[in-house]
Amino acid sequence: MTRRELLALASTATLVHAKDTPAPPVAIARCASYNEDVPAVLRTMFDQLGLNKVISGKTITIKLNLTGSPGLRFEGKPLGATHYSHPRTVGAMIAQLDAAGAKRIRLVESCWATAGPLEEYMLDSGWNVRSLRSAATRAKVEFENTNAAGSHKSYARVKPVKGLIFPSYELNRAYVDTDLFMSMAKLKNHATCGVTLSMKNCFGNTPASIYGDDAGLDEPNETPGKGRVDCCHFGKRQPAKAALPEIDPKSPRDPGYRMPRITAELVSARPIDIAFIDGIETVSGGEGPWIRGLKYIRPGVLLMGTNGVTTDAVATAVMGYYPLADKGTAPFKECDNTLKLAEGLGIGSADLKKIEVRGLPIQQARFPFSS
Amino acid sequence: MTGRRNLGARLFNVSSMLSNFVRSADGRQNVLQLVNYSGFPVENVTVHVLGKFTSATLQAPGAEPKKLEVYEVEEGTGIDIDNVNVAATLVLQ
Repeated sequence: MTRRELLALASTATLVHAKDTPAPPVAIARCASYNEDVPAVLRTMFDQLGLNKVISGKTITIKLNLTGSPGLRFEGKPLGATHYSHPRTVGAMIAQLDAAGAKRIRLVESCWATAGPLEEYMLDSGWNVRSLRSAATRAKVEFENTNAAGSHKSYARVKPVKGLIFPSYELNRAYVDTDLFMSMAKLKNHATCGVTLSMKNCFGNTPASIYGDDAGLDEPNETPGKGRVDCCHFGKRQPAKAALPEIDPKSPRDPGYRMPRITAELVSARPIDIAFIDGIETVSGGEGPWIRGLKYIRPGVLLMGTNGVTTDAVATAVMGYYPLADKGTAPFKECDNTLKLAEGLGIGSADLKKIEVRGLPIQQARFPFSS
Repeated sequence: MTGRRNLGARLFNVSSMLSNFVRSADGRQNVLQLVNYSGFPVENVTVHVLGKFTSATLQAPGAEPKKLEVYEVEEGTGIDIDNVNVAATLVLQ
């Protein structure tokens, strides 16, 4: 560990002790197949968490997980069965939010290498957009590709409690012009971060127009055609000057150092109000088909909570890992533990002893992923 | 300039397919041919075609011709195809 890494770790450790981190409950449900009555399962989870009373009359923005190009399939399976959010869980969630009295439901994602309409990206992913629109009978269903400014004229600046890599982020306004923010993630490993759950899903909140490899130097590139590897993962370049640059350009360029910190501070800056993790069908060994050693699996579980850290901690335990594991221990073999960093920012507790699990106990939901 | 609003036929979820859209000189016969060259069937293909059509029929090897729902989209007419195994032909009128 370098001196700089040690100092960074020490500064977050101080925050852990300085703050009494929240630890709201997490619900787990058994759901063996997308053909089951997913709406009924979600209804029960909403009841277990008391969510219905906070939905009525609200705008809810749902960040989906549509990572990588829709053209990249694993073993020819539908994207939702492997590494994408599944259209059936999305449709069921829309119906549940609508039934709970939501005023507006906005689906968002920073689509891979495009600022084109999210609806067309979904069609390319084999989704039926018309059925998503009609899943709500009262609420208005909207779609926004957040890879650029989209339907807005400007970006929103959000600031983490304490910047670890960036002092602030410029995001599509959909992430702040909302009453509630839901991260709708998949239960997966991540090649760099160990796990990718509700918090890591928010890494994709960043628009490629500003944080992308082909972002403008000064102004955002409103037609991005690349990912954000150079700027975020490796720190080879700074974001467009429309955003503030890194706090310390001499900090480690290792993605295992940067990505967990960017994830934690993004969630600190744009907190998750509802964390939903789909583990009905998924993959282990990585986040998408571009990772070698990927395996299709069927854990048959859904998780939901009102805090990204507590929900991800329980999900990490369901995957067979210790949520507070140190770097060097699976699943955080070559990276810092995002959960601990987020806990250090006071977002929520990753300590299973402090988190009440409702519905299916962790022991019964456990489905060991890759070690 | 050709773009998303004036392309004869726009296809979605066809990354493993070859396609050919043919229109007769009088515009009455419109045929879309699809060939799936992956080893897996493809589900949920969406077609957006310029112009208004009232009827779409899907023909595929080993299956009876099937009438599909047509609906209005920004460019003209939309059609959803549930499944393409190896090859399929969509006839629009």
